[in-house]
Amino acid sequence: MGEVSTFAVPFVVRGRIHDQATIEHNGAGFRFVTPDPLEVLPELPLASYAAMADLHELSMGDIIDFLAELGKRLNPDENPHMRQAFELSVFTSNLPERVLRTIYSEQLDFFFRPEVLADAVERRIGTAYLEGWVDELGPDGRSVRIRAYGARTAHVIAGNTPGVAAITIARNALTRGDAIIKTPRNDPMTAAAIAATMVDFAPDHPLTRHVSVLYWRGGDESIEPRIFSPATVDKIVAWGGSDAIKNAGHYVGPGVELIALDPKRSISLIGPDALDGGPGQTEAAHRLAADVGLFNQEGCVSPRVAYVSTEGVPDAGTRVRALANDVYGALGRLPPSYSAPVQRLPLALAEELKMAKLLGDPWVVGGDTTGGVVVSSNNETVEFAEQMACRHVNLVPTEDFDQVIEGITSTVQTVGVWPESLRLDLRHRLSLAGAQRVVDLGGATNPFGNQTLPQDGIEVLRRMCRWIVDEGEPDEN
Amino acid sequence: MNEPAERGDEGSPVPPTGDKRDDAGLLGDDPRRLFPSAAEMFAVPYGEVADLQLETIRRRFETLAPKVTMLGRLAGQAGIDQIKTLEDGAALLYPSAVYKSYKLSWLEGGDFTSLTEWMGQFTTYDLSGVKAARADSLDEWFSELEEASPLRVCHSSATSGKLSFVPRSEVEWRRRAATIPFADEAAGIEDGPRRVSYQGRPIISPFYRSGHSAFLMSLDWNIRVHGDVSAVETLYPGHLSSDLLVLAARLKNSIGHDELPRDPAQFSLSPALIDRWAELRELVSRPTEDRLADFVEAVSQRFAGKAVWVIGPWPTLVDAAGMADHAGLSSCFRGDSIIHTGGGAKGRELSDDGYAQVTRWLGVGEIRDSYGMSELMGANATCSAGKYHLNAWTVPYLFDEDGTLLERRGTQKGRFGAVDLMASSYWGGYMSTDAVTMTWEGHCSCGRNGPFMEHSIERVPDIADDKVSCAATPGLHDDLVKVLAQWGK
Repeated sequence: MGEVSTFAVPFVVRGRIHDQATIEHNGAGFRFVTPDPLEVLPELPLASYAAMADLHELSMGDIIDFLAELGKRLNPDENPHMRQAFELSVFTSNLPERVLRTIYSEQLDFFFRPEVLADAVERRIGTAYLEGWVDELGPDGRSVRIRAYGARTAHVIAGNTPGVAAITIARNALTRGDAIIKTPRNDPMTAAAIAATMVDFAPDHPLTRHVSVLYWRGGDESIEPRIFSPATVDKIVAWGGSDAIKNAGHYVGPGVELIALDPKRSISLIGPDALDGGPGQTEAAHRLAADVGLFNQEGCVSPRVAYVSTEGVPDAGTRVRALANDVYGALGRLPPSYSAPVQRLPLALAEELKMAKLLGDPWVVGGDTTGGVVVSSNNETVEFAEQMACRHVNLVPTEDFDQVIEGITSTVQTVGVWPESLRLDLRHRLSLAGAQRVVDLGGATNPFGNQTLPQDGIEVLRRMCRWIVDEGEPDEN
Repeated sequence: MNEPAERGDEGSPVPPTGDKRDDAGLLGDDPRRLFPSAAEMFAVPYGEVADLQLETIRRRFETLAPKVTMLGRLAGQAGIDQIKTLEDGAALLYPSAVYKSYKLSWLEGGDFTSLTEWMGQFTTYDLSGVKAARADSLDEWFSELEEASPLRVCHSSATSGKLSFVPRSEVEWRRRAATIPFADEAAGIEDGPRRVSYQGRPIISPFYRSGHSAFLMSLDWNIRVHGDVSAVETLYPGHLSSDLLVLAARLKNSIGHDELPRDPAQFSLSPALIDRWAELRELVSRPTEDRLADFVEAVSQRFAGKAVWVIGPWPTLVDAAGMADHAGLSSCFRGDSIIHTGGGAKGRELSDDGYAQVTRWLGVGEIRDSYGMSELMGANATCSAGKYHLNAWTVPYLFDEDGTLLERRGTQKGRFGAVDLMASSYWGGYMSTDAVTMTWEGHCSCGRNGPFMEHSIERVPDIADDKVSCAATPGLHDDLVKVLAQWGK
């Protein structure tokens, strides 16, 4: 065993940074130390709803300006909190260092760009509802007004990309929420680093004082019942991993609502033109490689399985392998700052790939730290399809898509389709089957602008608000 | 079982000839003849053992590579056409998933022909005469295999829902059974019996009498080689159906706890399955208290005061000892009785309370577990210093997390793999999923020569712990109703 790097991960609670490290968490080649969550527990609950009044005195302009200012300060070259978060992520994250560097240096501030935030608020909520009462004439002629208020919300966030921490802090500010963020083991630091940055430049700002970030081990029964209770929060936003969702689901009851961003999988549907041995094959291969490979397949938007239609294609087996070879080649040509070989494959996947190569079925091209394409020998996914990671995809030849669509459930998030005409043909059926996002193949991992779109079939920003009704004669002023 | 019990290789041992080629043959084919006792096996300087291992592995590889399709492929991919050093063997370990690399859909769809073809790639035996198409169930498939070949396949315990099938044959089972006494014999400077024989000992096992699980196959061959069939008591007298075992495992997964409803009426099952519902319930949970209490009382009376051989999974032994305690039964057997246990104790210490209860019931001073796995033959003893010592026919390798072979130096922690030189009808190279700490140089205080392992053994970490991702990971849980609907037909 070589040297062990140690990282101090602070807790940030309502504008105060706690850095008395007392608890040690060990990983392979690193450890991180945190304060004791039980000690800060008493500071987490808001004294009363009235304590959120300060947030509601801010205008949306103030909020967006604040976030824009925050976004500019997140570059790890200049911000020691963020540098620390980046360095720890190199150990905890599955993303290669080079890709992490791109995200921390170039991407995180995107989540705070004023024009994007303003657009998201306007399109997903309606800015007017956040800024004051909006007159709505009731169907029976009653005079009613609606306003979106902030909620006390616990966020159990995912750590597969640092963007999750950024988007959580932005969403909380935009909806004037009071956030308690539980960070995950694969990214214990980024949310705390962003919150600490807020403390550095505006310690008393209401947006700073309504964010708390801490790490504890998910499922800890000495902590979670006290945070996830109606006395402390109105809502829980739980990301990812089925254990995380189940843990959070435990606490749902009168007074606590769950916004579940469930674990999702994504697939691709590719028409028979991709087997033409010419331009169709080249284009489809590049597009599929982008969806599989960008951000190293760490997001749920990236496909693990791609179905390719062999309808009317002679010698389909050979052609599917040719496509697989092209996809593998294209994976290797993705820009290294967005996609790179990993140091080590997950053990279970590595073993399955090794076994597949021995058996010769399924057929594998690559299948190592550079990525790979696993071609099914029949029209079924391989048994380890769900384990595909680090730029590996299961290419499944299929005679028709009907059966594939039948198998789609609400666990399927993004479906990348090629060519475009096929997307237009299939999008309605895919949506009815349960899929939540249909995109042209190659667009699945597009990180730009997703903030303004619904996620997993949910309008998260809207759900994060409490929607309050005022009935009766309007205020003449 | 209709066959009479057979004696082990207890005849007068032929001492090692000193001729490396002869001794290498014995190391693989009959280690008990090469080393008449554990004391003698562990007295040999390890350098000499390693020389013998190299000669044996070289010969095994030469013989098997042309005949065992999968070994040929493995060697081809590793670029090895002959073994020159022991390190070459490290490149010739099957991945840990090797024996469950068949398609689950074959089992579910009853395609035993494909399963047989798959199995055929692992063994020297020609399986073309196996009438797999006649089989409708796993149990029937085993019968067909056994009718047409010397294969006596054993399988893993089904906890993951997919069984591993190890292509062992009669010759290896006999060989394996013959080496079991090594684990019970004192060696080095230890006190205790230097030669152990199981002859004349009644055998007590609180599970089924036979079946194809690795545990039951081992029990059965131990009885055949060492025992007296008329002096065997098992909790259930019959054969454990592997099909039922798989169903039980999947039900356990689907219900998330271990209690099946008493009345199966709600599931519209086949009459055959309804008939076996009670058995299934016991498999899913544990033996009923009444049954276990009766068993404990019966064996304690029948073999009272005798030197017995108890072979059982640890959790069941603990349950049985609880019953004995309740019935006021203690020190039921002679103090030199032999206890073989495992499964449940692996990776953690035998729990204190249970340990005290079991030793009190049986009347023995000490129970030591051993280290082993279905894929590699032999029980590797725990010594008086609490270390595991590997038998000479097991060629050990340790790998770091990148799969790089670690040097045989000092004390190293790594992933354990080995070549089992007793395997002669299949290739014995296997990469385990155990992370062990091995001391290659230095002497164990028990006085045995050779490398030894710390007692605590972990699974190779794939730490998913509290790592949260928005991407779905493989689901483990079956749906109860779906499972039963599939089997109810």
